[in-house]
Amino acid sequence: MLSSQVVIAVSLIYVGLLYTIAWWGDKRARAGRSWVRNPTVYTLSIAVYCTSWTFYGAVGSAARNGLEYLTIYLGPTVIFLGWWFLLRKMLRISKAHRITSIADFISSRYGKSTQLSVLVTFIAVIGTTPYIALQLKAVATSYTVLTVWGSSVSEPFVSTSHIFADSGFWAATGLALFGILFGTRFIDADEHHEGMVAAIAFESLVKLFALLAVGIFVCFFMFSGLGDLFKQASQTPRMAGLLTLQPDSGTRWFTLMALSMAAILTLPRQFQVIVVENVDERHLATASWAFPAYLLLMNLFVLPIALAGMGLLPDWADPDFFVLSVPLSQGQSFLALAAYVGGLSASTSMVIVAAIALSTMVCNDLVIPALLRLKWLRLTERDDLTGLLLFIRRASIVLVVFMGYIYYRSAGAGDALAEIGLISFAATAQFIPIMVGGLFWKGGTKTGALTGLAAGFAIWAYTLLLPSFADSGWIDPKLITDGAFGHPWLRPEALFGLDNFAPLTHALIWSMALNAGLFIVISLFTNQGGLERIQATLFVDAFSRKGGETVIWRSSATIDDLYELVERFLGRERAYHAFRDYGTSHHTAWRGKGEANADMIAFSERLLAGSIGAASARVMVSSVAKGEMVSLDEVLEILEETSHVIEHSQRLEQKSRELERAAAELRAANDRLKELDRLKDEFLTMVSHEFRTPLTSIRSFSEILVDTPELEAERSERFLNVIVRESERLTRLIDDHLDLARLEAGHSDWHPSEIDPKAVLRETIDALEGLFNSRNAKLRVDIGGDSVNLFVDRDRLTQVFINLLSNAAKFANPEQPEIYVRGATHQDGYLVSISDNGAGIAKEEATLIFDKFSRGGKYPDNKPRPSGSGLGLAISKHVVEHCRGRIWVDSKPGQGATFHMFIPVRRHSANSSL
Amino acid sequence: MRPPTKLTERALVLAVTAFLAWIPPLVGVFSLDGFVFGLPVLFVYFFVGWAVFIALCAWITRKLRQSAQQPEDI
Repeated sequence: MLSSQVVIAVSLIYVGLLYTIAWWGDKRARAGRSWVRNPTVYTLSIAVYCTSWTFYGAVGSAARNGLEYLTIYLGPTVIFLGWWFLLRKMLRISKAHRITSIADFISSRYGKSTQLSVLVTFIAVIGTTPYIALQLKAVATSYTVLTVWGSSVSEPFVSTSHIFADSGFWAATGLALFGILFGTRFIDADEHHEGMVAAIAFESLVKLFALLAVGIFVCFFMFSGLGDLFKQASQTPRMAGLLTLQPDSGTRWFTLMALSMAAILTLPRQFQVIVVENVDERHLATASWAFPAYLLLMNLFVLPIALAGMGLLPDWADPDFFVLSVPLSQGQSFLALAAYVGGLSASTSMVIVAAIALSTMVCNDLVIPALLRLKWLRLTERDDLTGLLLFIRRASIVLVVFMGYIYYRSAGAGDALAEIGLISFAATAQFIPIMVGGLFWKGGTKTGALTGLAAGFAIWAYTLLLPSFADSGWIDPKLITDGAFGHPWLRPEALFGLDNFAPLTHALIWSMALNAGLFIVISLFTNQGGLERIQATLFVDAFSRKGGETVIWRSSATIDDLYELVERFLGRERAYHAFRDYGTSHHTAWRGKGEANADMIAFSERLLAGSIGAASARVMVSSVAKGEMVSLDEVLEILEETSHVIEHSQRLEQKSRELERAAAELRAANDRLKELDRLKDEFLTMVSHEFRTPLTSIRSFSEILVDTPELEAERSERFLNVIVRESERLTRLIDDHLDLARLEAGHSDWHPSEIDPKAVLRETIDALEGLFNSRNAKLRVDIGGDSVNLFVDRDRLTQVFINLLSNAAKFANPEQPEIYVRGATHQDGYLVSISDNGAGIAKEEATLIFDKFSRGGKYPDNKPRPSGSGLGLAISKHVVEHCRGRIWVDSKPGQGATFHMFIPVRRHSANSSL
Repeated sequence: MRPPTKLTERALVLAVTAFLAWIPPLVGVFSLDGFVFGLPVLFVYFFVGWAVFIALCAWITRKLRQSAQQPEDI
């Protein structure tokens, strides 16, 4: 037990520390050296999600329902894992439209509707009240547990009758004061509260370390590790039951999961820290995994603490406060005090952020629109409104916090923390259909949104809020048991006879079904106004539009009119800076009687939207730029036309890209054709040249024979022999040429069969023996290895061998011709290498010799080349390649050449063309 | 530059998988008596799974940020 003086002193010192941090954070921010603008602080500020519900209540619900408490943290984890799809879009839109609150966000989507922003604000305030009550209850109870524990009082929770003796009252007062001091010091154009964010981030660290400290103490000092703790717990049936899923908890599990997923998006304070206080979209990327990691750490020891508390403490000890009572029961006052500070952090951060978020909404979306309607106030003509705005916000903070206090004093004191919090979750979850629906469906209309939201909220109030009032005796409990007007169908917890669900699930089924159903159906049967359609498009297509803002003002307003208007809401200094910056960046005049252009009016509206909300800003600007708005239909037409043009130009772009590609292909084809044409000419020249040589000699010898009949028989016979030889050569040339032409065209006949290349090679060598002998060539043959079967045309293969061998004989050194034939069997084919000892082939000719008519080897001594058609290698190459083989030559000039050919074994398939 | 569709699809599948893993009936499948590593099965299922999802998310997020070089596309 700790003395109340110590506890109060520690609380005050802690709150003082927070003030200092917040003040310092603001100071740094204003000096432009903010350390709040980084992803770590952003992540920690999102951890405002973990309130005293988490800090104290999670242990309580773990003690009652086991691991079910995790659903409240797994839901947000899912949303953050999918940040790319939902949160990022919300952030992008909010930045583009200078959204200041969730009410502003929703009303902006549905055509900046004031009615909708009022309704959203109303629901948010009512829905948050139980949540704030929960925090106040936690502060008050934790104080009592800490100061009363172990004394003669058997019940640790005492509800004091006198309001000034109630620690909850002082907590509320202190928190309201803090909210006022740091949430509303000035009216900012972009609603960033850097000091507050700094304090919240610090508090997130404190509560995390406090809970971890208690957890580590419980697991490793009271027990010897987590395993030991769980082992002991599993001995007791009641605790062993907590280690698995509770029977029949499926629907409740699902409900809680859905609720927590909704809550992280729609709770006003979460919207405030995630969206409004965000300074850089990139921070969200870090938070996407860092925030779930924070949640994991926060929850790691919750179940162990709950089990330890159940095992050690008497039955009357409230499991909601095991975090304090377990260390206290072990005599660890200091640890309990640290835990109390952690709990205080959790409560204060929630109340502060919620109060600031709600006060912004109450001011911008509730009070200002109302005041603007009261014409006799002449609000639009007042000089400086910043004071008024600040006063409204401060009053709203006090109002919000003390509404929570009233709920705590009257209705919520008896319930478990988690149950109070869930009522709040269910209220704000009503925003989900119109919010998420509005982000992805352009068809949602304002009327649909209003009806759906109102219906959902009414059902929530009837099925959840009313019963909680009945519990506290505010209304007749008969209403709950018998239903309104005594009609059993109207029982709040079994509406329309649906009585087989828990109250929370029951409420959610009806409210969500009606909410989403009405939203969709009414949207389908109503039409959107002009502004609605524009806003819907801007929201849904947030990523596909550049620039994002539509200018819909055509004005006759002067620049000074606008300037003075903005000055009234933002104050002299801020208005001056904003306009000066605008003027310099847009290179336009920013003071004077000149006509303001449409862009400037839109800029002023955005500036105002940042401090008084989109709906009010619209009214204010239209009071200056009276009646000169372009009609919305006109704007829509322009918009639609523009999007048509964009679409059209995109299509044109695509078309032109396609054309370009086609043109490039055509150019390539044309180049290829030109090349082919050149080759054809070359070929023709070559062919004629090749044919001409034998023809010339035939003709000249024939002429000699004709002209000189007196030629002696010996000479004429020699001439005739030349004629015959040259004719043969011509015939061979033509045959080879025809053969090659057939090969090239793929028209030649192939008669493939299983043959052994070794045998073919051997036969060919034998057949050419005469040729070798006639040249005195020294022939070495080395056809070793295993047999292999190739599936090729035997005659064609022989033709290739003959070509290569006769070439070798022809080109070998004329004095001492040497030829070396090798055959080698490989696993996947047969390799033949035929070497000669001739002059060799220059490197640059190694590939050319396989072309038609290129008789390789320019002899250095310009000796006449051995005769031949010049087509042999070209034909060989075709044949080998037809068999999927390869033919190439290795040569060093002066040292002979080696021709290699490799033919792979081919598994002969049915349609083999070989 | 927009990140490749495949990457954003992975991010979506990650979130959907996490959701499906943490609701009945799959949760019920792991609701078993008994211990792994000296800890209750369901406890290990949640916290190890949680850590794995966080690690995967960090990895995908890094890829997304790398592919979306321009700040306005992040």
